[in-house]
Amino acid sequence: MTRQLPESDLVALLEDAGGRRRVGPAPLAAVHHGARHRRRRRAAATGLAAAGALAAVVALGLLPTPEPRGHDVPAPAGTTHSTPTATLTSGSDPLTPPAPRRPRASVPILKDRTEAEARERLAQSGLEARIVTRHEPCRPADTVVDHRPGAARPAPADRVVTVVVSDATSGTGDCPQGVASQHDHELVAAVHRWASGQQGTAPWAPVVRVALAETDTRWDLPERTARDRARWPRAPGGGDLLAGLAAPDARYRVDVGAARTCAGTPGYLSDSDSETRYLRVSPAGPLGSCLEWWAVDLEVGAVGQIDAVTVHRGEW
Amino acid sequence: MRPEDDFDAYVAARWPRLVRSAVLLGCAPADAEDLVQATLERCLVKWSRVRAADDRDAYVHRILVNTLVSARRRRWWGERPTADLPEPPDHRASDATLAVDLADAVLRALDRLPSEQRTAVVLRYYAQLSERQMADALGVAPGTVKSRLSRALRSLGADTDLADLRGAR
Repeated sequence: MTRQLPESDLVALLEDAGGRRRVGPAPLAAVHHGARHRRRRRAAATGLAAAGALAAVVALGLLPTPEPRGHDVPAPAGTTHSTPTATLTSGSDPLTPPAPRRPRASVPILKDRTEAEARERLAQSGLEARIVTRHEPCRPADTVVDHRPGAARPAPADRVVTVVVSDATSGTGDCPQGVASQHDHELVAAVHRWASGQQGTAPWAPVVRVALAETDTRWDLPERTARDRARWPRAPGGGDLLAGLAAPDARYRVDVGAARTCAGTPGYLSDSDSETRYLRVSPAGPLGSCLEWWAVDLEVGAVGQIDAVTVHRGEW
Repeated sequence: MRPEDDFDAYVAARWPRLVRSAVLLGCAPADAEDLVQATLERCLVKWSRVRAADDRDAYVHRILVNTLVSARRRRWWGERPTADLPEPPDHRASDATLAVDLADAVLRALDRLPSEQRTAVVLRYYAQLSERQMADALGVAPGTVKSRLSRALRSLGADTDLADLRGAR
C-alpha cells in the first residue's frame, strides 16, 4: 500500500519550489487601471441587461397596468364592466377605487452571473434562491447556467427561484467534441455582429486564409483588410461570401469539430489532437432545400485568433 | 484607512505569495503575474465585499482559482498533456542545478495530479488555507477537501521523482 507523502515534507518542497521564483513588484497602477476598466464594462453591461429586462417585461405585458379609477368609469348598476386588469361587478361601489394590487415580481436575468450575484439580485426582487449545482465541462465554475422560472417570467407563488449553478470542477475539462463552449458562442456572435454590420470586429489573425469550399478559390487577407467588411472578397459571380451571416437576425448553430451538413451527414473537420479549434456555423432553422444551406468554418488558433475561414454555399 | 489604501497594503503584502501560488497551480511565471493582476482587478472592483468577507484570503484565493479556470477554459486547446516528459533531473549536478531541478520536479509532480487535487495541495500547503477556508474558496464541502488532499498526498507519496528529491534534500 502506498504511503502518503508526509505533510511537513510537502510544505518544505512547495516552499522550496515556490520560494525560488523571483517575483517583480506588484503593478499597483496597472491593477487600479484595470479595475476602472472593469467597472466601466460592468456598468455598461448592467445598463444593457436592465434595458433588455425592461423590454422583455414590457413585451410580456408583465408591467402592472394602472387600476381603473372608479369615478372616471362608473359601472352602470346591474352590468359588468371589464378592463384589461380589473372587473367591476354590479353591487360594488363604483365610486370607491379598488385596493391597489401588489405588483407580482418578475424573475431577473441571472444567467452567467455568479451564485452570490444571483442571490443578491433575487433578494433585491424579494425572491429567494434554491441552488442546484451541476458539472458543466464547457462553462466556468460558479456560474448560473439556467434558472426556473426564466428571466422576466412571473415569480412563483412561494417566491423561490431554482437556480442551476456550475460546480467548482466545471470548466476544467475539454469540451466534448461537437459541443460549443460559451467562448465559442461569444466568438461566433462577434463574427456575426461584424458580418451583419452591427458593430465591432472579430479577433482576426495577422493573415486570414479565406477559401470557398469545393473550389480552388482562395484569398489571403491581411488583418487590416479582414477587419473591413467592405473589403472582403466577393464570391465568383459577385455574391456576398458571408451572406448567411449578413442578416442581423440570422439564426445559426455552432458545432465544434463536427462537419454537420445540410443532410446531417456526420463527419469531423479535424482530428481531436489538433491545436486548432474548428467551429462550423450553419443555419439553425429548417430550409426550403439544401440549395439554401450554407456554412462558415472558422479555424481558431491556439491564441484565440481566427486563422482561416472556409465558406460553403449550397449543397447538392 | 481608505479602501484604496487598504487594498494597496493588501496587494503589497500578498503579491509575491499569490504569484508563486499561481505558478504552483500550473501557470508559466509571466502568465502567473497576469493571472494575479486580473484577480486583483476583480477584487478591487468589489473590494467592499472582499473587506466584509469573513476571510479575505479565502475570498481572494477563490477569485484566483476561478480566474485561472476561466483562463484555461478560454485557451484549453493550448495545453496538451503528454505521456513523455522531458529528461529527468540529474541529481549528480551542482547544488545550484539541484535547486532548479527541485523546483522543476515539484512542478512536474504537481502536473501529474488532477487539477482539483493540485489546487487543493497548493491552497492547503502553500497558501496555508485551513480546510474550512478551502471549502469556502472552492465552493465544496469540507469532506471533499479532505478526500482530495488525502488522494493527492497518496499520489505524491508514490512519486519516485519526489522520493529522490526528499532523499537528496
